[in-house]
Amino acid sequence: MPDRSLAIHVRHVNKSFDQGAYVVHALKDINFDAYINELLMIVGPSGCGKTTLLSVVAGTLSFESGEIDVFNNSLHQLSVDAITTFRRENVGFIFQQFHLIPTLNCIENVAVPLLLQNIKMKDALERAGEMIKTFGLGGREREKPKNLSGGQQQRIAIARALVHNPRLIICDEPTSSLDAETGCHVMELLSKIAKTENRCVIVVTHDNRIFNYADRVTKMNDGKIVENNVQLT
Amino acid sequence: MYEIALKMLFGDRSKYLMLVSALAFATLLTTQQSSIFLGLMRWTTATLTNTQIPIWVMDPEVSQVNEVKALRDTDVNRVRSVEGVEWAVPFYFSLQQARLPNGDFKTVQFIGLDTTTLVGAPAIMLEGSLENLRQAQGVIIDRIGLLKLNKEREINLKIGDTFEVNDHQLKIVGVCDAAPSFFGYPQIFTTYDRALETVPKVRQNLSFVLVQPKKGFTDEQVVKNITNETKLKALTENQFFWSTIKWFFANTSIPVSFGTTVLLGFIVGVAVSGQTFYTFILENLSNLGALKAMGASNRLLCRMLLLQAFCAGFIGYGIGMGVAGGFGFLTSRAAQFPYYMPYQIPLFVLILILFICSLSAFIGIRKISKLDAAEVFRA
Repeated sequence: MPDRSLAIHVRHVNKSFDQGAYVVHALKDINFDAYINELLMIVGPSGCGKTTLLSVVAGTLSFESGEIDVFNNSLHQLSVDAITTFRRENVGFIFQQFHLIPTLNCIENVAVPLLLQNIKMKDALERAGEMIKTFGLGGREREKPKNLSGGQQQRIAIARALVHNPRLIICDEPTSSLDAETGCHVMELLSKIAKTENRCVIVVTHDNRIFNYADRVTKMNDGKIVENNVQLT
Repeated sequence: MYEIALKMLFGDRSKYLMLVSALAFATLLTTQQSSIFLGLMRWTTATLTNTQIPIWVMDPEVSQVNEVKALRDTDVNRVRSVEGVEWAVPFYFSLQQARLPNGDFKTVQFIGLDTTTLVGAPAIMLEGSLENLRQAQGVIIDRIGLLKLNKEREINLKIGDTFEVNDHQLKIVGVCDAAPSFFGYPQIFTTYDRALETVPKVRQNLSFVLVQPKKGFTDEQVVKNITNETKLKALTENQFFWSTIKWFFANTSIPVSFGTTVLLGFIVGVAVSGQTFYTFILENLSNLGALKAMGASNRLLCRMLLLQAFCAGFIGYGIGMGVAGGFGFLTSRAAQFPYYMPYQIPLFVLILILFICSLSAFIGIRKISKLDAAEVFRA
């Protein structure tokens, strides 16, 4: 079993995609750990398997062999329904393209993870409103996402990822749609989030401008981890 | 999450309007065409509706109420002698040319009722009385028929006015309310004897014999007795109704043309709403993928899709049914349009719309079920 301070414990994970004529080995015997109150960055060139690794750790993608423990939940032993419940309760997602629902306003978008947990609409909106205020967007709750700037949309997406107090925050290229300055603000925010409430933040990126926000960097290439535990701070 | 699902649907105005319009159009087309078809079919049996007689006796070759092959006048007495017959009366039915006071000719449906009993007369008199038929030259005309005769005339026909049929002068002594006939001709009711005096002389005149069974005998028993003993064709009112409907199904293109329109309404509904809903799903696929990643189960997403599809379906159904009902209300006020919408039509169309919605939702559900939550990470 992983150490108590461990947030994520990955051992000998393999994942391949059958493309018909050939098989792509996206993850090859992956081993790594991530710790509580840590911002771990997974970096590497495009197509090296970063997003696939993020997906299997988040429980959105199955894997063929190996073991993954996330906050003492053994993903390799859970059923599909149990993994869905695990994601709903323990994981906050920040996507590259934000994926805010355009027909909902900001407060409704932020409330979605709470509604998925069957919390009443009124209570969910109340909590979502408070979360939006903490990100400095008070007064914009009723705006549709299209009326916000890219940085504001990403802050709403982060608010959505945090509103249900998940322990694991998964970020897929969180700054790739943002300008440098906004990207730095977002990373500062994520860095602070990682240090609060026994959380762990994993960021997948190939944006080298933000590497200095990581507590550790894990480098990937060709489906393998080529450099682990690169200590930056 | 169901509130969120509805907001996703209503928020995409163009898709929502397209979806609702398609379903409303399908509802309107299927309801309106089915109602007109049933209205027409009701008109084909107007004579049965107006007379309300339990048993009809006719020539064996007759298969529908608007078709007459005359019997011998003595056949009435033959029918009266059959066991189980309470009474039997003659009934005359033909198309004649009426010459109006201004010289115009109009085709009319000429109906002769038993002179003594006036059995088979329409139940509702709007002006005058049924007994007025006993006056010399007296005829009763149906309300819609009178409206048709008065169309484009400067001076309207009314009670007391006269017109001619076959050079015999007839006088309007009453106006009744009667179901309009399939041919759309005015219906002129008179006595059997006067009808025979008026129309051109032929060897056989009796169109039908109307029969009332005795107490203790069922309609079917009496029908059987009449057929066996007289070798004439006897049918209960219900049998004659369906025999007439079947004849129109088999010998006219009415069911095919209306059926085709109803089918087209269904196909357009399926095609447009299915396509629109599918596009709606495709455009929301990344958002639905995000929801799936955040922990929405397949079951929840399927229920959300079903809610969206059925919500659009009920709104479209409501609009379409409202328009169809309004159309029916306005046309039935004039009463010169065949429109009959029994509760079975809205029920049938509701089932049809729910089927279209289910089909549309099913296409989306298939897509969602196959959607990998990890897809959301692929930009």
